[in-house]
Amino acid sequence: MLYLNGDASKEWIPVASGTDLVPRHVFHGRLPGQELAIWRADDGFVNIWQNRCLHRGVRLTIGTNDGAQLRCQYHGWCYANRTGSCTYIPAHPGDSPAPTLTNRTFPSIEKYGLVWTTLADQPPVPAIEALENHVTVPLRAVSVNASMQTVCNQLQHRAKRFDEFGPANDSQIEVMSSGPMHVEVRQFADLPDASLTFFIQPVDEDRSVIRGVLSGDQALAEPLPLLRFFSSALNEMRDHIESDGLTVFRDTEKISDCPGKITKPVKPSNYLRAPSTQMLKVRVSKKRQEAYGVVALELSPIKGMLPGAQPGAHIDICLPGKHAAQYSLVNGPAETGRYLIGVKREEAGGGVSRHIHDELQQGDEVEISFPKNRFPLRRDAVNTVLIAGGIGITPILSMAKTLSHVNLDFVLHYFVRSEGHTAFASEVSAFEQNANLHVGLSVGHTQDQVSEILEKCDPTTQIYVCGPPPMLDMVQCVSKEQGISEKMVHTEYFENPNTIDLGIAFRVVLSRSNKVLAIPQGKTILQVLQENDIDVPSSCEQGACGTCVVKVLLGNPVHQDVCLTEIEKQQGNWIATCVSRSSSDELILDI
Amino acid sequence: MLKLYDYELSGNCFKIRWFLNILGIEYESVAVEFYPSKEHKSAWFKEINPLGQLPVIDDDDFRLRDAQAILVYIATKYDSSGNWYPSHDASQTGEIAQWLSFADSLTATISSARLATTFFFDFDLEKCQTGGHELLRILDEHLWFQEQQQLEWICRGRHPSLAEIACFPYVALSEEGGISRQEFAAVRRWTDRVKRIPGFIGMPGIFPAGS
Repeated sequence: MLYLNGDASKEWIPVASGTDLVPRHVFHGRLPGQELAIWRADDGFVNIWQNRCLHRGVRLTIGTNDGAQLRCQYHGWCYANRTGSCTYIPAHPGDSPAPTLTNRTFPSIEKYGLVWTTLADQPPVPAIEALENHVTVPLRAVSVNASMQTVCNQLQHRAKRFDEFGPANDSQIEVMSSGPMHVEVRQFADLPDASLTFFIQPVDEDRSVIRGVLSGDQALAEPLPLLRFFSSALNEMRDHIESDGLTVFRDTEKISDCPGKITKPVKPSNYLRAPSTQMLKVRVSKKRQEAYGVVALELSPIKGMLPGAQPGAHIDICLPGKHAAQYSLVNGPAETGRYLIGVKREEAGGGVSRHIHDELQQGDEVEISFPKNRFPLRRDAVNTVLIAGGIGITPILSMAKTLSHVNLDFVLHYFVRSEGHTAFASEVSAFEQNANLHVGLSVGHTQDQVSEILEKCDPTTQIYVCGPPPMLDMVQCVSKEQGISEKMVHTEYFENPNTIDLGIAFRVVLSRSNKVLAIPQGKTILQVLQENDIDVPSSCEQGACGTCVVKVLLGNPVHQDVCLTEIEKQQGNWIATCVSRSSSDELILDI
Repeated sequence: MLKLYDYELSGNCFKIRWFLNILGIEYESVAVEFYPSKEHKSAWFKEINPLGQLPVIDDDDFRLRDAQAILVYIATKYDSSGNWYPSHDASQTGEIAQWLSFADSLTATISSARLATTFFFDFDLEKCQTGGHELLRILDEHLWFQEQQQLEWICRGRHPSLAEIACFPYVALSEEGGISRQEFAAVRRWTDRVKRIPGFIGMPGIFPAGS
């Protein structure tokens, strides 16, 4: 049977055999006007992407597949399995790539031993009777330098007398019907159940690929002789088509004569991607007690895929009538099918964690923000030390998984109150000798232990710390005493322990919107901005998450947040608008 | 010490450097400027190789030209494992010799196309490209059927052979000669496997594979 699948903007087209996509390989595919980088991740997912690095346009097919990410050969930009979002830019090791840096991805399905894609918006999945519920074996794909229509004509013409090529024992070929689009089933005398189906994949205006599939009721025990036979037969046909003698079958309306290119703009795919202010709905696919006072939630997409996230990233969970709460993702680089978070029950605070613990059920839907990253992980460090206290393990674990995946040295220290308080214990213990669990240490002993850990660091060691504020303050204090550069110590606060002083009144000048607003006592910059319909994204509104940080062009900010680093605070170029004030009469902001 | 008359951008010189690296043999490289000064056609070099071709080795005053011949010599003399060129086995050596000759055809087509596109040689580019494309079709079909039989390499056997070393460089450089490997999926998988053989080194235009 011959199927002509010509128009990728309307239907699914086979672009590879399933067996073409071997582990850690990038297959080079092509449709008219669209080169494809096709690769299978270690979790089995088939990625079909535009074959072009977002950075300098180099083909991704010369890049490397590390099982969870595709890395461009040119400057090493890394893109995540499934989402195609950029996870790392080696030239900016301390930054997190913008969420808009996402490759163009196409949907993929595997059926009948072939890998299919489409540029259309969810056309019906191909269903071919002769192949449904049969064992299928793809033939060797044969490329032909001729248009799809030419190949189609030839294949039809030849199929009627395909027994010229016949397998040694007289095969019978039955042409069930023939039309412009397909030639029906052929059966073999010695393999009564077997049939053969051809698909023709267009490559460009004068190149196509013949993809044949053998099928039968039972496994074809010895397919090799048949594969050889059809490979030779198709080669012969190819040579015949390509030879100069064959003008009669040449397409009279060659596409190359048309001035316009075949490529058509396609609608954006249904994958969820958007700037950080946008929300998405997810389903709680699993909820389990992870440790004393901690539940783990798996959040799965309702439609499409989840946006990519980098190690250290967090999402906001938004519940009606409550302030959003931030939770770090525990995902490793290969875990892109769902978000995993750990939620500690907080008796104080806005009530999100209590709601999650007490009310939220498996199967419920919740609104979350797109992932944001204020705690980016460098992947150029020779040594990395990861220190977690309590629920602070969540971003640290995601970092450890990433470092482990890319074979960079790290040591993880996890401080917990008791064994019962140890969240994600099995994931931590998977790092074996790289993970150290410190159970039940007093404040003093914790400080001694941290001292010892930091003493072992050399000047090139990058240090990441996440945990309760007193612990972060202590680590920063100890590292300062030991003369460790502030640049090497990265922290993430989940909450701001500072008491916020809103006593000073001042003015803000909005340089881009050309507005001057008075900030009275008792009101934050963010509140005044919101009252005046100035759209600044915000989240925790307590100076911890960094969402509302804006650039300062002139003036002296008085910082009361914990999201900017000490160096950033000294430079005075940024301000967390939800808590910080000004000591100058006026602050000029870049909004 | 073994001396190699060498040019960095030559695929045939690269295969010798690479094989010496696999076997861990130290050598001295004598740079011969192929382009632009055409030093390989100079009087002093024609004394060494009257054909005016690279590479040439000089091993303890034993002088040998021709990349494929040099590979056979090095493997026979220095590879104690005997895996790269099992000289006691008639069918294996015969098969390897067949592909060494194929490598020469790659030089005549793909390498010539590359000389035309990147070094401005006055060759019939289209003819070279058509010839190279034809050879890649043959190699691709061969390698596809090897894969069907769970064989990873050009010749039968579980270990890569000199056929890999001889054929790989100009296959991997084909795009510099304007010959795309997009349609040669089995060749592309094979180049990934070859790059993962311990001791692999690259050259300009040949990128490392991932792990």
